[in-house]
Amino acid sequence: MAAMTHHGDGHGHHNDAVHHQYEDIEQQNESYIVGMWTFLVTEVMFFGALFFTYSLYRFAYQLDFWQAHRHLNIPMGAVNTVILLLSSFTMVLAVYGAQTHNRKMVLVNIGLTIACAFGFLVIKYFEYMGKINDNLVPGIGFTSDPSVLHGANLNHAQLFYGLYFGMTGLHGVHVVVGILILGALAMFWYKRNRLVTNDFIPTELVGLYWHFVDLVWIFLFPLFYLMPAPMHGLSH
Amino acid sequence: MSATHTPIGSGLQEPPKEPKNYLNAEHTISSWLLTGDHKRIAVMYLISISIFFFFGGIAASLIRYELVSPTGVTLESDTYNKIFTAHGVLMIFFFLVPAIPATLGNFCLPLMIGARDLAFPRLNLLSWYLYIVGGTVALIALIAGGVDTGWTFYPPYSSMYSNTQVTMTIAAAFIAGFSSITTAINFIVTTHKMRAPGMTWFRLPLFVWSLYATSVVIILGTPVIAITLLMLVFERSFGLPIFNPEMGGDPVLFQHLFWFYSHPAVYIMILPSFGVISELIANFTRKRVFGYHFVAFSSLAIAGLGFIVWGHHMFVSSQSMYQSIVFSLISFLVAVPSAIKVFNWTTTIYKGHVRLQTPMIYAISFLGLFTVGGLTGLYLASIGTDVHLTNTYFVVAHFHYVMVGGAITAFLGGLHYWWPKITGKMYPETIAKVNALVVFLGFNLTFFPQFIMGWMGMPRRYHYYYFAPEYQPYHIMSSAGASFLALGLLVPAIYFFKSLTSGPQASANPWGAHGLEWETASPPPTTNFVATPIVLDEVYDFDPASEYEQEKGTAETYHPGQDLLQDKDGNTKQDGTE
Amino acid sequence: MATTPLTSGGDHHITPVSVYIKTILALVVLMVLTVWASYWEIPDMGPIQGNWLANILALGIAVTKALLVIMFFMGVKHASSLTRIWVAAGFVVLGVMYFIAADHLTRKFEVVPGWNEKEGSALPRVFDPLNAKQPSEVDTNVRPRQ
Repeated sequence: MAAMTHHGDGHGHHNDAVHHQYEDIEQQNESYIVGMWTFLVTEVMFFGALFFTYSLYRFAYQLDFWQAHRHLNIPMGAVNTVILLLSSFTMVLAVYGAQTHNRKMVLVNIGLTIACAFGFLVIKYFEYMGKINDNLVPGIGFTSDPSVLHGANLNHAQLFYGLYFGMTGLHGVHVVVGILILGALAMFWYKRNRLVTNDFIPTELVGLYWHFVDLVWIFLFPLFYLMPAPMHGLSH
Repeated sequence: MSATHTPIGSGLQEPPKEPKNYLNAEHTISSWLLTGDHKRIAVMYLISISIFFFFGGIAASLIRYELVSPTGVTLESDTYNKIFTAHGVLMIFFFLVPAIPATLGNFCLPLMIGARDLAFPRLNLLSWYLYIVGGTVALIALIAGGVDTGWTFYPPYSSMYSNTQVTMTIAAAFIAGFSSITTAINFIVTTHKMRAPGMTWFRLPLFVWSLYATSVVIILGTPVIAITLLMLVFERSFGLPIFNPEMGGDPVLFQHLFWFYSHPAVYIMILPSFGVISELIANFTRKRVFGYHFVAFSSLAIAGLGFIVWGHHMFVSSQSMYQSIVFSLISFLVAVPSAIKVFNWTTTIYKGHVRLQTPMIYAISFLGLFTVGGLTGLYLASIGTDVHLTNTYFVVAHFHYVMVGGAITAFLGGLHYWWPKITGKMYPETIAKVNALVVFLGFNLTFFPQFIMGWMGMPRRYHYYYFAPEYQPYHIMSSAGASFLALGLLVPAIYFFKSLTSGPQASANPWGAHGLEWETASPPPTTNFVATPIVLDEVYDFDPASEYEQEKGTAETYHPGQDLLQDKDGNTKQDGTE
Repeated sequence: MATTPLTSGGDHHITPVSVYIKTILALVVLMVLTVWASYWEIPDMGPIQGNWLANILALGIAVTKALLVIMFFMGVKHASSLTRIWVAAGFVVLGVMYFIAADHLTRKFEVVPGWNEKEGSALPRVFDPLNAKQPSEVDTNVRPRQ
């Protein structure tokens, strides 16, 4: 049947960055990348179901969703989009720094990425507080003030804000998790931990996650903030 | 970690001491609870799923006992609802989904492809902890009052009316979902990246193919149910009106999203069984599986088709009749890859050297039971018949023929087959054979009457049927069969447990089976193989000459403590002598 | 600045920084474009309504931005074919999920008049938002949640 290798030292390699189950660093790196992408596919499906739910209800209640969306703050959303795009840019620079063994570049750029993430959350906080003060949280206390609803049907506006808080909230949770991971990564780099300095793959994996968070927002922004009027003659 | 090298030249007879293997390498409790070894995690999973299977079984027994009389025996209606929900939730989320992948798959996958471990051992351990946390939450929810929504959690009942532990049970299912996602990521990466040299895709055992297909389904499906259940919890707890018809939400959307996962989920439960059966049939008929490529690709085809048939669960749910028609047609297509498998297994048996040992008996009963379960699925895929049969015992019987007759039979067969490899001990063959027959007969007695009464119109989830006492004989038959089935499931627990202490030592390859997992010691060393194997021969490549030796019992077998390897001609080679 | 790659062996592609700069510039330009475009009043083009075109434009820009991020920032342009298949598989199955909408879009063609005529029915059985009358607060089924 199968033969066994007999060069005694099948896995007695000397690179301590390679875990015992792998033959070499190459196999380990490829496994990490494939594993991360597999995880991101689950994330795509995770958000995907929400995006489908949103699409369905927006199609069903176009006018109400459009009227309800007029209370969202486009400048805040736009600034947040730019912040996230920039954080993705600093993230790839951090990965580039890891690839070229430039510790300072890594630390500076991870720091900038974390700063962008916090900036995003701060703006999000003010946005949420504005909505909460206008009683736009679905439930018993939901507002019936026409100046806030802009004429939207009470129930469908709740549906809109339910999805708004649900989807941006879940995205916000991902941002918070991202900050924690980025913080841990920066800490490892700062302490010159061989776990991250040996190879650029751990930094790259965090980068992939962070880009995915950006990716979700790229779709959330036009879907929630930039709705075209469903029929002519409606002022924007 | 380095390989365990036992002293060379200890010879064939009487090894001086028990060799180091994954079971006796370390003995502390923390060496189990913090292990990264896929074999130990598989054993921990085996113990945990057995516990949950036991709880689910108790619920099933209560249901069958209650239904003996048309006016109920002991349970209140409320309690009955909670009991059948508990049965469904425990059996599906905590037994059937992880049963074969997380135990047999976890144990065998690295061994079968010649790897030292799964790609991410710590993720594998995390998976077990998530499972345990999820299971504990489910049990706490059960103790705190249980759920009465059925395992499908349909709104608006679950979101607005049910006054039971819906939130906690959903949390349990949510956590268990992440447990299976982590396992699936591990399996996919391992299959892609960890194969031994020479282990090409078409030399992979069919069990690996089916585990791969299962993992793909888990990866793509499970997140959907996770987010759907999360939306439901948010609706129930905070009033986000997503599925609430009063607010313009669509409860049918929940059913769509739910079945978008849960129909593929039944393939998550049955695909690994297909793999186990392929292994059993090849190795106990001493033949390469007929149409290996077709069987391999039919697993992927089932995985793919599984994602486009969810609507056949919703023929009476007010979904568009046009969508129902399309779903009905596609559902019939699933029969094609399933039939390819059954035909190929049958053809493999034809003119094979069939050895009727316990695993093979389970494999053959699988063939019969799965065929019945699969063919009755066609009744339910055609809209007209389904409208009549929806929510009757016919559906219950169909589902159990596939899940119990399919998945659990295959699980038992696989457990008997790999038991010597997992524990290094043999189970008592005669009693196991008799027990396999008891399972088969008890199962049929339990569920065949349900087809009949379902066809006649007995609705499921009712515990009073005094309006139609003519169903009572069928219920009594079914309950009597359930007692036999319960016996048939308890007896293996006893003799397996007993074999741990008093069972005879198993050789490395007690079945004369073909496959990398049989070329290492029983139980395997912690690193699985002494050195990385190089695969030179095809899959299921049974050699007629060694077949003869196996039949005559003259073949050199591998003894524990002997780090020797047999090559194809039966010559032994010693590690490090070349 | 050291420029040798860190991997021991293997030829992982290192994208030069200039590519990243071009990508982020393109992303920001698209971002400004999509906000600006949302203020356009796009006229109807034959049977296609203007707001549909506006939606298509907004989502087209979003998809372009997403592709830029996936291809360059996430490195799929230089990734293994296995990674690419995974990325594609995720979005393909997500597309399959959108077939759920086939249910809601074909209900109006059913030969039997549904219960959509019924007063206070929850979701309009006929899913035809362009022709359906918009519900007012008076005639929807509003029951206070207890």
